[in-house]
Amino acid sequence: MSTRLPGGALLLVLASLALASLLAALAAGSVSVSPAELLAALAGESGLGREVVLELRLPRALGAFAVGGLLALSGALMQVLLGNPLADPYVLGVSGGAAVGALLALLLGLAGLPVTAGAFLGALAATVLVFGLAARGERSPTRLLLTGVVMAAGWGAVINLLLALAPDAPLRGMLFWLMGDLSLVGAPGAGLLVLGVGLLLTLPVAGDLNLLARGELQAGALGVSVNGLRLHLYLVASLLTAAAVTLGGSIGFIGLLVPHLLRLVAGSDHRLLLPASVLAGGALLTAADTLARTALAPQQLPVGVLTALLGVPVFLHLLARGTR
Amino acid sequence: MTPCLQARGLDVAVAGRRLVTGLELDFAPGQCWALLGQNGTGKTTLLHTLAGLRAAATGKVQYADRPLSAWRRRLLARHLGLLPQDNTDPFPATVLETTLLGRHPHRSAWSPDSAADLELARAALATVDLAGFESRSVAHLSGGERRRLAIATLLTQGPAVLLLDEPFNHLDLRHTVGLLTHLRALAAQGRCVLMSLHDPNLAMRSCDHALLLYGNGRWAAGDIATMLTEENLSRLYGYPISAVAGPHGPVFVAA
Repeated sequence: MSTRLPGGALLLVLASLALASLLAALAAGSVSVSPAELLAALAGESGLGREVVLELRLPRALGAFAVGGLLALSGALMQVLLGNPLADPYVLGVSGGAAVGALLALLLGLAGLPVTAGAFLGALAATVLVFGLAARGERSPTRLLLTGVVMAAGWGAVINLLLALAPDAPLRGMLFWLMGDLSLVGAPGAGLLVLGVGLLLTLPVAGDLNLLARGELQAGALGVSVNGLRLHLYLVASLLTAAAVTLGGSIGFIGLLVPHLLRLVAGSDHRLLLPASVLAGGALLTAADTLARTALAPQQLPVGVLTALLGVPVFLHLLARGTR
Repeated sequence: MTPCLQARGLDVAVAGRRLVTGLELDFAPGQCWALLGQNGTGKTTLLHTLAGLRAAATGKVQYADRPLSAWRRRLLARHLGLLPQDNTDPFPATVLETTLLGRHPHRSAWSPDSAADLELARAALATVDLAGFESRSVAHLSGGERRRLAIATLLTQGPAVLLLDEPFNHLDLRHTVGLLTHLRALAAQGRCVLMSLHDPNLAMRSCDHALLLYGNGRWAAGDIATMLTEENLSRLYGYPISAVAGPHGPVFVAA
């Protein structure tokens, strides 16, 4: 028997958690802001609190929320696309392509926008390359997965090559980018916009995802146009991952863990799972980023390290529980 | 009688090998067809082609006088259903949810399960003897129970043409006979049933027509009594088969 929360209650709980994580992100830090000051700042009263909260912490908190939501949504889509609950947004090498683009920009001594552009172009190149290679011959999730995994390994080698060749000056920045870091999220608006568009593009097909999760044959027999849906999923998931990697580098485990956890709690109805993944992923990464900023302050930890440190034991626990 | 599903000059090929050539056949309402042949003679591929899930090498398949390719997939799924040979359930799901997937082609993506949908699903579960299993996890079912669940999903879909790929794999004797009887009753109500089987005796017992695939492009189709003879079956399976008298007619045994 499985016990499940009703869908509405789950979304309400997750929305509350998301709000709480955002408020905590605004309040916590080297300058502590009391709840009263926080409210005053948000209400528009000026003061030191207002500057810290609105100009430093709010963009970063919203950026973290956007990246977490993007990764979790993309992970949920990739898992259905590949018919594999262990798939994550990076499994097809999108993050590898983005990293190569960003590292090349950093290697050339560039910073800021060119690095972002490099990451995005790299992610797009990886997307087109994997799909182009996998689309030749017989199309199957296994073929797509293998193509992506091999390409990801290839990108990994190129990343190591770039690191080996890099002079000392840009090396630290390059390593920090690779570990996943949200301190450079300048404008979270773009991330939130892509997140909203991604949800709008996938919610209408959420019912079809429930069928595709049972295999292409079963989905086709029950009226899903499988080829069109797979292309749609691939493009949207890749766009979401590209946006996430561009904003925050590669941050592990959110895209794998969040949809997986939610499936155990709430079942596999994607009409509920997709919005729940966005809320849970956003809340989790916002909380993790706040912890990364404050745990060893003034030292800032790369948030990707933190999510992996939290994610590995949780995931292993789930895996052990699942093989009863 | 209006034919419900028609094969016209249909060739079925796998990796360039023509397994079935020039199939001309009408599957009419009220008929129950058995699809027989050795392993690898194209039974599954033919069923997928007839379901419109695989392109024909040449020729075409029509439902209600329109080629399958001209149908919207979702609309076609209201009339034409397939029980795949295997089912995959990589993600956690309950028995009732899985059965309700059969209603997907009949409603809009966001409408909740209606009382009528639930009633159909529960009735289908009762038919396959899975009443009381509604909230169980699919991962905890046995092989035979999963097979019955897949049949319940097809029954919940409620198509006019039912294509079943080895429906009784993993089923015990009682459930096999019970479901055969149900499928036969569906045909008697005007549905069309076509199922691949490995047991000529089950075919003899439940079907009125048979389609034999020889795997070299040749096929034979017709009334079950004229198709299932010692001579035909021995040639079909490449192994001597004799008929002995049984309680309901001849029983085929491998010599």
